[in-house]
Parts: sequence; C-alpha cells; structure tokens
Amino acid sequence: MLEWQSDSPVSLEISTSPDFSKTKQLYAGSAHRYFLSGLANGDYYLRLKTLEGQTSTPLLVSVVHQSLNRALFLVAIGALVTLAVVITILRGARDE
Amino acid sequence: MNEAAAILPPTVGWILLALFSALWVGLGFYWGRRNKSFEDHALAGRNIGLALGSATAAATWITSNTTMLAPQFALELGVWGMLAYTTASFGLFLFAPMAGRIRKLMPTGYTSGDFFRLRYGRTAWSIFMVYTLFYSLTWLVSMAMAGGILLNALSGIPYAWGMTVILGVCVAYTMRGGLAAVIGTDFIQSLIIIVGVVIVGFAVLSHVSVDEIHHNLEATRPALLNVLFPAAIMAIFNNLLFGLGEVFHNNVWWSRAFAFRDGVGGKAFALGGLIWFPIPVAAGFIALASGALNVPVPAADMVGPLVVADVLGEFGAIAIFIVVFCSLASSLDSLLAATSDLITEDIYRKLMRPDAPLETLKKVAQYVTLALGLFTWAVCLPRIGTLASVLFFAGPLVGSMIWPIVTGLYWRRASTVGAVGGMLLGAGVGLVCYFAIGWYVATLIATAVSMVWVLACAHFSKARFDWAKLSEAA
Repeated sequence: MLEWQSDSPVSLEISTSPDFSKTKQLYAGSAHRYFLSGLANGDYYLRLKTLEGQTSTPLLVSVVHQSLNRALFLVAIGALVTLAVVITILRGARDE
Repeated sequence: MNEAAAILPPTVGWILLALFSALWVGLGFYWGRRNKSFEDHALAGRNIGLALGSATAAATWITSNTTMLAPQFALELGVWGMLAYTTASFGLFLFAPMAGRIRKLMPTGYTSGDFFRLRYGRTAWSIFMVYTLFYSLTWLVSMAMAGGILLNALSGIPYAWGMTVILGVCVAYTMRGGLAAVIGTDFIQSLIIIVGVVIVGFAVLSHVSVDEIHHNLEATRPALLNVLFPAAIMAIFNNLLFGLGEVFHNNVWWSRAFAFRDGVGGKAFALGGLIWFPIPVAAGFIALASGALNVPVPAADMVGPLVVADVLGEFGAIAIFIVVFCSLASSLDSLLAATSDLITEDIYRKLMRPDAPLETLKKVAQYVTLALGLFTWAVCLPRIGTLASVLFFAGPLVGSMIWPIVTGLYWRRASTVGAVGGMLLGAGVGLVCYFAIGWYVATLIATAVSMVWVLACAHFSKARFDWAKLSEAA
C-alpha cells in the first residue's frame, strides 16, 4: 500500500530504471493511497509527479515471489487430497 | 474511507438502512409467528422445499467476503486468485450427496455436534465444539465488521452505527422467526443479490472493454495474468479445501440438511452451488477493471464496492449498498441461528438439561441468539484486524475436520482415534504453517496431515461402527 500527502492532483509513475528513462503511469488523480500488486520479480522505482512537472524522491520496491517449485508441489498435494475427498464421497458407503 | 470520501450521501444510506431493516424485521416476525417448539424454531418443521432450499444455500454462501474478499483475491492474486475464490462452490456441490446421507442416517438429528458426539464420542465432540465455535464466532465478527466498514465506505454512516444496526436487525428477526425467518428472508435476499450483481456487471462492462482491462493489467500488473503466479496457484487448493471444511463441519449447513424435506437436500445444495458460482467471478472481474478505469484503491478489500460506486455514481452506490446489506444479512442470520441452535442443543440440552421441554429450548435458543449478537457487537466495536487475516486463521481448524466427517459418514471403520488425532495433528501443523509460510498453505497442509492420520487409523482399525447409533439424536 502506497500513501502520500498532496494538496493537488498527482500521477503515480513506475519504472525499472532509477533514472525513469522508461515509465508507466499507474494512477492519475486526487487520491492519497494506491494498492500496488501484480508486479513480476525485480526492482521497481516509483515516484509522484504533479501537474507542474515536479517529482518526488523515488521509492525503491523489490519484488520476490514465492518459489514456483514449492507452489507446484503444493498444487500436487492439493489435487491429491481433493481427489481423494471426491472419490470417498462419490463411492459412498461400501462397507454397510 | 470517511464521510467526505463516501459516494452516497449519509441521508440516503440511513433511508435505505431503515427501509430494509424494517422489511427484514417485519418478515421475520411474520414468518416466526407459527413457531411453537424448538424443532419449529431450529429446523423450520423439517419441511423446506427445493426453491427455498436452493435460495438459502446460495444466499448464505454469498457473504460479505464474496463481495469484499473475492475482489481482493483478484487484485492480489490475479485471474487465478479470482478462480481460486470460486472453488468455494465445491463445498456446496460435494455437500449435496452428503446432505442426503445425513438425513438418512440422522432423521431426527439437530446439529453437526450431534453427529460428532454420537459417531466419535465426547473427546472428539469437545474438540469439534472448540473449533466450530472459534470458526463461527470469527465468521460472525468478520461479517459484522464488514457491514460497518462497507456502510461507512459507501454512505459515510459511522462504522459503529452501521455495524450496530445491521447486527441488531439480524438478531431481532432471527430471535423471533428462527430458521423459517432466516430461510424466507434468504430467498428474497438471494433474488436481490443476483439481480443486483447482473445489473452492476453489465454496467461496468459498458464503461470499459475486456481488451482495455487486459492491456492495462499487462502494462501495470503483469503478474496478475501469469498462469504460473506462485502465490496464486498455491491459493487454489487451499481455498477449495477451506470451503469444503467450512461447509462440511458447520451447523449452518447441517441444520439445513436436517430442515430440508426428504429428498430435497442433494438437489438444493447442488443448485445453490450453481447459483453462487458466478458471483465471485463477477466481483473479481470488477476488481481487475479498477486499473483500466483509473479507480484508486485505498484498501484491497474495498476494491469491488469502490469500483462500482466510482463508475456508476449514486445509482451504483445504491445498488451495491443494497446487495451488500442483503449478502451480509443472509449470512449473519444463518450463522446466528445455527450457532445458537448448536449451543442450545449440544451444551444446554445434552450437558445441562436433557429433560428440558421443546418450548423451553426454543426460549433458550432465542436468548443465546441475543447473547451471540451482544458478544459480536462488543468484539467488533473497536474495529481490530483485517478481514482476510481474521478469516484465514480458522482455515487449518476447519480443514482438519474434513476427513473425520467424510469417513465418519461413509466408513464403518473410521475410528475415534483417527478423528481426534486427525483434528489435533492437522490443525496443529496447519497453524504452524500459517505462521511459518502463510495463510495460503495453512488449510491445505492441515487437511493433508489430517487425511494421512485418519486413513492410517481407518486402515488398521478393527472397529465397525453401528450406523443405528446415529439415529438416537432426538
């Protein structure tokens, strides 16, 4: 969650380089908070820009996702457990 | 959010709140007038048909979390997160065959506690009661808090007042009308929710195309479109199993299995699941559209209502206000009724007053409903904690009960050692994983550990349970 204070509308920009040679605009308006999500692994620089062109000090955000191997391992366990539940219910009471 | 930032004027919010409060309380008192005994109050005379049954299953499962947490899942975990939330419908689909089995084995049963006590004995029942009361109270608190937060965000009604009114209304009509009032209001609430979500969904789509949403996500939140987003794919089965655990163990669903007319339960739960399935998809889609619509999101769990209100203005705010009020009421009333029945039947009747007449039990259930409401109100007033963290803390507990319940219903060789060990080991390891890794694996690990223990015990068990013992609940 990003929070800032500003009396006038601002745009929130993101870049992968500290000099903001290539930027993308995440938001433009009068809000004071922004929920940041969905970034790929890597370092990102964020800054606010006013309508007059003034910019804030850049903020560095590092994104490190969970291990994909661990995620796939857990998916396999989940699929196995779920399948076992489904089979048990659909088979019903066989030992009555 | 505060009053200045709210899109709906507080006066409009108060008028809507007053109108719907009067409607639900009036209908609750009307439908409750024929309740004479505990069986009428707790199980609506065991005579609920398919239309009411399907509607109550869907409406109860459409909670504040469907309108707040499903969009949060989409915004944090992307498309997989949105789909992960929809897997909660599997709880209703798989409970459908179980409902028929429950009705057959326990034709005079009242609660899921009856099942644990008769099937596995007092120790397993005690653990079940601790788990289910923790879960039920967590759910109650999270929904009452959500009510206050949402009404405040949409209309500027102060949090404490919004939470108090929505909780008070649900307590009033549930106390007076019991399950008949809960199911009757659920029917109307489910119709309002479905119509509201369809209108809102099409309205949002008319403001932004799917292509625009896709381009925006690709540019600003690319991981949300990644099919191998690690946290998102971890959440899929964790959420699915959380949903199974919630439905399989909780008296909200067992009381309906007992209340539905013979032969109705299976169809009603399956239809309820089908009705519920598209709701979180629509709610999640709205959240994914927030970037393309340039809607600032001050908190992840507020994204759905805020996008709708921002795009559609006052009309959208009114629509989402009504939908949210209905989804909160339809779940709060069900949980109040089912939990008060559980305490009345399992604690008051079975432990304290086995000879209590049914008329007295009805009065006790009404007072317990009031006490639950007051407890929830007192916990919610300080507004502590976020919705997701409060809710997912209960995940390992409910996940650990899946296997004891499923095998207990279908296998004569399922044993007490298996059930007790499965619940304790599963919940213990799951909670450790909750803190060591994160909420998105806790339920999955808890269910897997419980499964291994329960299956091993059943394999080596020489006991063969006599199903006739389950019909002694009355």
